[in-house]
Amino acid sequence: MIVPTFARRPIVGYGWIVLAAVGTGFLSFGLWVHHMFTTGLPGISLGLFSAASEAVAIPTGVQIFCFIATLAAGRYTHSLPMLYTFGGLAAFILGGLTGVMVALAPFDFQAHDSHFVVSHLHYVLIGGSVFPIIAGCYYFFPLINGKKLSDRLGRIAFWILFTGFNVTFLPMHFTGLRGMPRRVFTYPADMGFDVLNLVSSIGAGLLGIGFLIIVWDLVRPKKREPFAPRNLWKAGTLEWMPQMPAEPWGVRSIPEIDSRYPLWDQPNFLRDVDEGRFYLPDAEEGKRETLVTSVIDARPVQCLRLPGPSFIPAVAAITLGGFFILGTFYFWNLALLSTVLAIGAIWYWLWVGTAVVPEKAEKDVGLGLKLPLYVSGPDSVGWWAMFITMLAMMTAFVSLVFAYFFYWTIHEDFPPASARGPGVFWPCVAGAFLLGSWALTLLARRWNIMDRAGLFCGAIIVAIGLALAGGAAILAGPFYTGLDPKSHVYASIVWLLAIWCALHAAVGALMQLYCLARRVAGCMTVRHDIDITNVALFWHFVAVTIVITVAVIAGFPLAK
Amino acid sequence: MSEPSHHPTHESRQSLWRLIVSPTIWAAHFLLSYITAAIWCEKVAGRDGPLTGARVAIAIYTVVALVGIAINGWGGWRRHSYGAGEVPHDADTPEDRHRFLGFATLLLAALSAIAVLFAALVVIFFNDCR
Repeated sequence: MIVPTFARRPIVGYGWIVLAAVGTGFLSFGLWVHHMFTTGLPGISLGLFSAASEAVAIPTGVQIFCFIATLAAGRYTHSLPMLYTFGGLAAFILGGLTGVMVALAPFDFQAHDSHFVVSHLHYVLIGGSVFPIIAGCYYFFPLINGKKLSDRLGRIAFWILFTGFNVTFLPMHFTGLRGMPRRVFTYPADMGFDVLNLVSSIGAGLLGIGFLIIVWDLVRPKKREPFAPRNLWKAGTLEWMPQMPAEPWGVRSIPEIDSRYPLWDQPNFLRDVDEGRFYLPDAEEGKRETLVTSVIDARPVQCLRLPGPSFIPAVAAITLGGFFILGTFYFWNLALLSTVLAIGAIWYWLWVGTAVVPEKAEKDVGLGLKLPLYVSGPDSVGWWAMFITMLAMMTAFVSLVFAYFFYWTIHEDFPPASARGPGVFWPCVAGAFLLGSWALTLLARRWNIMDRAGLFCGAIIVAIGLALAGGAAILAGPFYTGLDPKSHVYASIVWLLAIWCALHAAVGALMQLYCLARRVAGCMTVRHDIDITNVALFWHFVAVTIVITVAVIAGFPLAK
Repeated sequence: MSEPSHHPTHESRQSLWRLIVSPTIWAAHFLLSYITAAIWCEKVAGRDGPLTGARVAIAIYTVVALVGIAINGWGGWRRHSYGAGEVPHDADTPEDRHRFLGFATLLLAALSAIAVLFAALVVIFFNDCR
């Protein structure tokens, strides 16, 4: 967004930018092993990951050429965010070029664990991420409190940072090629590293000074400074719609967009937004509302009510984070307490803030359009949130299954002959229980729509029991067959898969309990069934997880 | 929006999923090639063994993947050249959105085809599992 703004024209090759974003995202799944080229993997595996690492240079290069073409074709306007963008591009291109070198496994064998790699990765990260983030800070900061950061401090910081960065990391290419290993701070005096490392140390000092200036610019008091004008960079994109300082309600009305750069292309755009000539110009019921649109044509399809401002999400985040952080230090009791608090906070937050039954079915959103206030199933945003979350969970789960088979390929004896677990009985019992719970959840969803409250409650209660019993049974497999997770990687991966299933079963039981409580309390009705619909979706994923887990931990040792 | 729902540019007939078909085929090809080579070298031929069987399998995967990508890319090309429109397809019309999605699909198909060929090159350069 920074590049088209200061080129004063639409980005050149928008379709190619889509190629770059999607292409990089996909190829990244096949290149991470380039950090592990010297761990002794077979050559053919290295070759595949090297191929993907080289291929990713194509979309990255396309993106950089799009930026350069946009600047060349437009009317370039100089600005501080653009200065940082140039610095970032220059550094990233250099890092990308050394990247093409180290993506070749034989070259990496030589450069691995040396300062050459340190230099490469800092050119990529600082060029590709740190400079652009600082550019973003200077560009977007006025959206936070209506005040601009200092151009003078930013410019001084840029030149100190850019100089310091190159003085630090450019010499590391040479120290690395001379054989200086990374993560070593001492070496004999006659290795030829001394002068280069001294230069790098001076550069690191400069880099630190540059960052301090930026931090000071961000945190210094700005009370007496004037507010920036609205859309101060004369950008064409929508995020510059708010007034400076922003009104507490955000923007007055939700506009209809006909261009990728509506602030440039749509006449009287800001005036019409401010005068409430678009959707949802008022909040008659005093609720926080937004529009949900279709994916491709962006036709408004729902008026979505969102929860108001609250500290509960922050409490949930801190307590849930507490589980992981306290667990890292083996404070198990505190970690458990933190988890209970997190469950409480999430439960409360969902209960009061989501899937609230509206007082009317439809609402006039302006411009002669009436939209539903409550939508469930694949048309609702909550369903998609669950779907995408579970897709991420499935990716993690498939990685665990992959690990199981990876160990099978690299070990002569896997599962080891001495391992007796987890057996077939308990995993199959767990599979039957959890699939039963899944089926009952689907039936409960159906009986809810049919208004059979008694059947719904009965099915959900049995489903909760089956979920908990199934979770316990999957753990019983490795437990009763005496698999010691510290004895062998086999025992450890089996335990991990079983715990993964048990955790999902427990979370699934909590969700079923939530649906039961919502129905009993009247928050979920025959027509308003978001809760059970999304929980049923979650259970689809649990069903797939349990089938795969049982097939792997109980079935694979049999098939071998 | 004004067209009937059976019209090719109507929103109900568009899909974002078609955009990622080609990269997904690349991912499947990559994973299958990796798994085949790993199992071949560890369980069949041995760490110093020849690649023969794995090579044939990966050659078949590559042909299948390229055919799949070509079909997806051809669909993208057809949508890209729908009616009389030229890139960048950025007008606020269902036709241009239709063409734009087709164009992006075509580009991703081209990138995926190159990435699949890169992966296939590995078994041309390697003769054995070492």
